[in-house]
Amino acid sequence: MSHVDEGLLHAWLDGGLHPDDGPEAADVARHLEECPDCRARLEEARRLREDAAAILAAAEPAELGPIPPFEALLARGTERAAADGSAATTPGAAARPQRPPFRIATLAWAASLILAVGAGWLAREVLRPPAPLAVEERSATRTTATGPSAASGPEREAESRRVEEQSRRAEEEAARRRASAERAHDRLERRDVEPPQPEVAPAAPKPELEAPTGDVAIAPTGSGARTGAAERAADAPAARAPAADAGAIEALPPRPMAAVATGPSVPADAWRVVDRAEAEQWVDGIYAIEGLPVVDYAIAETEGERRLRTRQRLADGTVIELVQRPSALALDELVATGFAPPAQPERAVAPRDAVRAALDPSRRPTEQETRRQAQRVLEGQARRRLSRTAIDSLAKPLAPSGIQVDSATPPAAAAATDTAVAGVVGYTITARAPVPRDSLRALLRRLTSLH
Amino acid sequence: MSVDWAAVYRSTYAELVRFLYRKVWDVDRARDLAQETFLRALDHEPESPRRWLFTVATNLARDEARGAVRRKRHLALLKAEAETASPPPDPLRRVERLEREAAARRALESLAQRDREILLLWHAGLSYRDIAAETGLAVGAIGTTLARARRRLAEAYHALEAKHVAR
Repeated sequence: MSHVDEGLLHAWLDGGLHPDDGPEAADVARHLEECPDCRARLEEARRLREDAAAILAAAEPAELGPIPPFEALLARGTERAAADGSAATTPGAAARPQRPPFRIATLAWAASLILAVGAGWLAREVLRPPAPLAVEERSATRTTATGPSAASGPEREAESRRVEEQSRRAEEEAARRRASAERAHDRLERRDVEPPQPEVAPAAPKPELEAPTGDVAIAPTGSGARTGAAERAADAPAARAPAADAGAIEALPPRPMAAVATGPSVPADAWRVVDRAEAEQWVDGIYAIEGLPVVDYAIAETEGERRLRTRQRLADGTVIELVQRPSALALDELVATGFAPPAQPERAVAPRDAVRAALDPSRRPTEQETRRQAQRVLEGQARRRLSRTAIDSLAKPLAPSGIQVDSATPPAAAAATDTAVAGVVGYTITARAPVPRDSLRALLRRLTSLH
Repeated sequence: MSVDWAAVYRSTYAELVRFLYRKVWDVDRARDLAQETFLRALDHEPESPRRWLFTVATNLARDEARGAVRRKRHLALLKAEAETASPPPDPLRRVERLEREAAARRALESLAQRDREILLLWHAGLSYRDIAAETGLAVGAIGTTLARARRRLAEAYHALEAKHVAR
């Protein structure tokens, strides 16, 4: 092989050489071993590559801001579909005439269903028949204009997994490049004239920060509860308070809002493990995440208040813990709230795959089932004549994103403050699991009453 | 084919915002365009979501640059700067960061459009093959283009820096 030109050196460093496209990486490596001139040029290419990456890293916004929830995107699509069709600036869009926004319209329907089903959670009696409750965003996106699915389930899932895997790999690659750029950027900033690192391979990937462990509480606030921005500001430090061990919710540091959610604490030894029959006697309906095996039930009584703790196993063996306590508040007093502890890298976090497995679409309601369920919910609402206020108060935390961001919270905390699904009348459910917050929220959407 | 768009959204959104930011230089607009990009993706269900997203983002950013929203964007930028200026943790460092960003921006904008495009796509995590498919270049030409783009970027940046120091 003759000398390696600059473009090939960059392609080699970038891992961009493919056997089908020209010289293979192995050929280049072999030549580099033999040729000191090319090795010197390789070092120059490496420095240039790092320099450019550092400059690009300098051209980044100081703050990206919080990632809006996916539901917010769907809500935006809803508005778009209602207003007009979406114009396309897409590859090959010129060749394709604009078509009616069927898909967005369908997604819009799904987004509104999230609200409807959320409302249904309030009308507990309506939900007594065994029925899946949740519309998970993935199921919404799987819905197509022509029907629930054309491909068979396994094929669709395999394809979906493949795309997810590609996406994950690309994400890791981008993170790796960014990490490399940041390291180079630090050097650029220091203006140190350090000798180049004698690394042959491209920089090792920087481990991605694990998503913080989630902890979402569904909190009713009564008329006596504090409300408004001032209260949220007061709670902001609590929102950033570190979480306790994966053990008991009771071990959490004091937080005014969380206290509303979880009530008086239960000493760890106050829990008594019981069988299901006894658990059913203890509360009027056990609420749990649909589709997850139950590890155990435990009951406790604190200050005259009966509580049920249900633990369920996620696919990777980690456990989600649900504490159910009575709440005798009126419908229009129910709001959703929550908090998010900061990331705790030292703590084992269940891989997203485990949660994905738990959220397996095969265990999720079909579109038809969900429609029927929504219909029942809506009928139930009509029967019960829920006040407009009650519905509005529900819609507020749920729509469009299901997430409240406290405006009084500093930006960093706002990004981490992740919240809220819905509640069940008569009970407050506090969930905790060593999984990312968004996954926990997705799991909570599958809260259902066991029969 | 069904794509888990919620997962793609979570994994790609931040990268897309960074990518768009380097084109429109306004984080609010970048966020807005990123969401717009995903909305269109949801409506089209492309086979290669990530590549498709960056393609559409590129088109949207180009439209944005051509559009009459420039003035508005400028105002938004001023607003954003005023907002970020409110809590200065370390004014000196902040000024330095802004200066570096301005220099990086000018250096990036001094590149030929294709060089800039390929550099940004690479930095966003796309593979040589994806970049080739996106830009119409041969895969074998990507390395050469990237090498040239990197060199020109570095030269432009350091020239601006030297000028700044000389002042």
